[in-house]
Amino acid sequence: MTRAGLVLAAGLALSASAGPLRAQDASEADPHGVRAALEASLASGAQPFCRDPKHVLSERERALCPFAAQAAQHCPAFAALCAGEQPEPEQESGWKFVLGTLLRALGVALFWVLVLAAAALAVWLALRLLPASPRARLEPTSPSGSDPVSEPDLPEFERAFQAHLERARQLAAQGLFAEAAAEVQLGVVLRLDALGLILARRGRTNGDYARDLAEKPELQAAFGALTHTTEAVQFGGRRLDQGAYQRLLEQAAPLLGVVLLAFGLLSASGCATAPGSAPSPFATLCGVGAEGHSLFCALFDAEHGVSQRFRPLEGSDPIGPDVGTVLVLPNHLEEGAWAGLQSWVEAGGVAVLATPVPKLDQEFSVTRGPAACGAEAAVVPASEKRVLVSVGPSLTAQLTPTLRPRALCETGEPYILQGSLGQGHVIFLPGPDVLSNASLVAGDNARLLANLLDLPEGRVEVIGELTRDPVSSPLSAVSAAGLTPWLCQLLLLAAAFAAYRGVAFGRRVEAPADLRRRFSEHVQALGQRWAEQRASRSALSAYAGYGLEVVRERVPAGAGKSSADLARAVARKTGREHAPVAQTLELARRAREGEADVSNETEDLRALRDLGRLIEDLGGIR
Amino acid sequence: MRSTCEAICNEVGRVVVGQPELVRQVLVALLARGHVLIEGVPGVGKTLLVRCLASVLGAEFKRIQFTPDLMPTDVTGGNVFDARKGEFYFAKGPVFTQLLLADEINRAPAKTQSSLLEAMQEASVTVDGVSRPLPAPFLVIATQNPVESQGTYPLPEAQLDRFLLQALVGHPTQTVEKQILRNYVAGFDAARLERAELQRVADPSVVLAMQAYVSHVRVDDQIVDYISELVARTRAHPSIFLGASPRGALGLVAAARTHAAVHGRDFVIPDDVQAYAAPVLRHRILLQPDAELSNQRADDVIEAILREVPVPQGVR
Repeated sequence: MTRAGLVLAAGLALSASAGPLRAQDASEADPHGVRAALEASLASGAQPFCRDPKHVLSERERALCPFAAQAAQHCPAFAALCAGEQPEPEQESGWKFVLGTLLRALGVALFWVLVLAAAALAVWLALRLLPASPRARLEPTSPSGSDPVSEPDLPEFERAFQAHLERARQLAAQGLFAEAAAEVQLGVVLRLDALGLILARRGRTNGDYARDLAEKPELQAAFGALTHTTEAVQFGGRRLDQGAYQRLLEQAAPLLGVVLLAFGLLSASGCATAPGSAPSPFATLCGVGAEGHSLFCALFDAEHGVSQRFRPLEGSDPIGPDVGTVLVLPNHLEEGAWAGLQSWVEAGGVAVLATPVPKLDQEFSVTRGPAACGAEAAVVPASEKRVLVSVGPSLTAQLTPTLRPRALCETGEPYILQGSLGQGHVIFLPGPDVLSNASLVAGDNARLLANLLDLPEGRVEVIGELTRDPVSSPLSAVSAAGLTPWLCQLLLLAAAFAAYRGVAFGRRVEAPADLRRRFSEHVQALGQRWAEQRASRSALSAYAGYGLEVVRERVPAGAGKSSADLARAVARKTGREHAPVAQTLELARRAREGEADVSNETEDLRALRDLGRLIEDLGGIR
Repeated sequence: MRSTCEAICNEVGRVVVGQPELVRQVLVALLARGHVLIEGVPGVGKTLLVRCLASVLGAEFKRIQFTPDLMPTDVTGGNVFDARKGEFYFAKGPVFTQLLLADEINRAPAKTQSSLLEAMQEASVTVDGVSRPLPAPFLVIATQNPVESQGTYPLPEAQLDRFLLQALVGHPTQTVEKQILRNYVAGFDAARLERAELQRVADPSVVLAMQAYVSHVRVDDQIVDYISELVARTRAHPSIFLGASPRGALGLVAAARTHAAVHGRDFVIPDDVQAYAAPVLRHRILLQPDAELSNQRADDVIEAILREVPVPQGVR
């Protein structure tokens, strides 16, 4: 967003909070900063409403009309627009309007169809590609090519790892660390399964899973270490205290990633990292980028408690007695929410303001910018040459005995101010960037800032991006968090996924097997029973008498001829090879004739089966 | 214990090339106070393995070649009349040793085979009402040929049940076979094992101490339940005609304990059970005729059971 846009947004925010402003209202509410910035913005003539006389003003833009007169020189169209001489939009003729509406509707429909198709394609690809390779690699196959035993899935293994992690958190809170470790282990297994890295099945062991991870040595090592601990607890009777459980969670962190973080299983102490050890994943909370605030990590290392405030200062959650300093970063609190902070400062607290706080700014008549401070700012009093590398604008204020500069720009404008208020004091910073990593690494800023702030004893409470006024509904909470687009996409994805998987209208059951069995299957089952008593030859003899008659009926060409002719005819009709057919028929004939044979149960059962298949191939029993 | 076991396996593996799993299984059987039935084609190094093991452990070794005319007393020994002293004395048979190789055990009739029953189960031999203990440790390694069936006497189920493990030995891979050939070309002669200069890594007293340690390896209740469930499934599986016996379940516990100890753990995990489920159970189950008809093997069914039975995961 451009600077002009930012300023405009500030103006819009003001207008939204106080309703449409008149010129004098705006001047009174913000006599310096916002108005001047708006004038400059309007005077630049770069805005569309400055150039386009057909521009249609929105409600909020119309609220800025009091500034139009001052901007008339560079933004003439705006004055005309504010005067209410809005050109009427060209009325379209009837058929044009209908056509345009239809085309627009068609375009919107096409757009959503494309979005749905893309989402469905993404889901399909995820389902096909992610689990496919490891599963295909891991699925065991029987020597005969078909699985001899069906392998039922466990419903609880279906992406339910969050439930295990939540349960682990609850158990750990109750001091049941061994049980919590088992839940973490299960959660890890399910997580890896959901990612397609392993194949979680009821009969597979941790050793199997570790072997599944052979292609990812870092995960394999982490999983091995985790398993070593959990198995010693589960099967070795080892005890697990809080420290050991914490170490176990750290072992699990690479396997669970952000999931573990989201469930808050690890304490925030991960912010601090021991020298030489791998960086903790929680360092990201402190912000390691240029715009981040590693200052919080530094404060934490110095054993200053640092906490984030989520609720407003008023109401049921006032500033606690253990808080020594309140650091105010850009936030979402309303203008009237700062009375509590002022009274707390007056009672002896220290407030560091890195963003405008109207009540305290007005108390000391301090404004920020827009003039840049310059490259450097000198620390006051300058007993030696101590220079800050300045970031952001300067401050503007009328210096009084209760408001003194702590750092001055090259132009003489104050850069950092400190004002006394009751028993406490307020430190004004030009902006949040002063505390950013980019600022701290510049020159000797870190040390100088630490000396300047000179934080008292007690916890540091941060009012920042996450600090909000209460919302009236969950939807507005989602909207306020800027999650609406993500939620819409998630719902869209869920809908596509549901469409892909279909809707279950009842409990899933196996498809009912065909209860009606073929006669040959009955014969084979009977043969197996008889085989246990070494009487399979009797079963074959009885079935062969019947079966050979059926075969002769089905193959008229072979009827009345020799067994060899019959075999040839059957082979020709069924497309089988001649030799095995002849062997089966010959075995059947000899069994029927009761010829003494050295045979065994296996051969008899095989002959029963083959004769039954021959009959089936010839059309079965009619 | 882990380092000792690794040293034994490595030392034996210097001579017995390409059979690390077989070496480990025999060692596990020894430490679990069990016995091994090795089924494999001739000429894959079964006898060499036992001789090497005896050499590395410093244990006494004897071999019996089972034949159809072998008598029980040829195995156990018997009372012989000393004409000079005018009294009977007991002449010990080859079973009085620490490592006994019963080669081609299925070539002797059941009567002779059963002469080993008491020795294997009780580690003692009773002749003419007098029981004599066998030296400790005592390990029977029996071999049989799966191919030839003419003139053989299949081991009865009761005898098979006495063996803790059944190890299957197949032909070596081409790479391993090349290594065997290179060793031979370099002068290795299986008949002159002393030339291989095998190091004596342990002695029988160490083996006894290791056996005692194994008995202290913890077996959690969940593991007991798991093994019990596995064995119970072998009795209810549709492809199995005769399931494993309670002795089989005990054998699985013993093998899993030893496997855990060999891997440096003092507690058993499900991996230990699964590693030895097939070797312990495969010779104790009989398949249904239709399962045999569909070319299923005991190992396939055991693997299917392992996949069906849930592995213990929680904490009690």
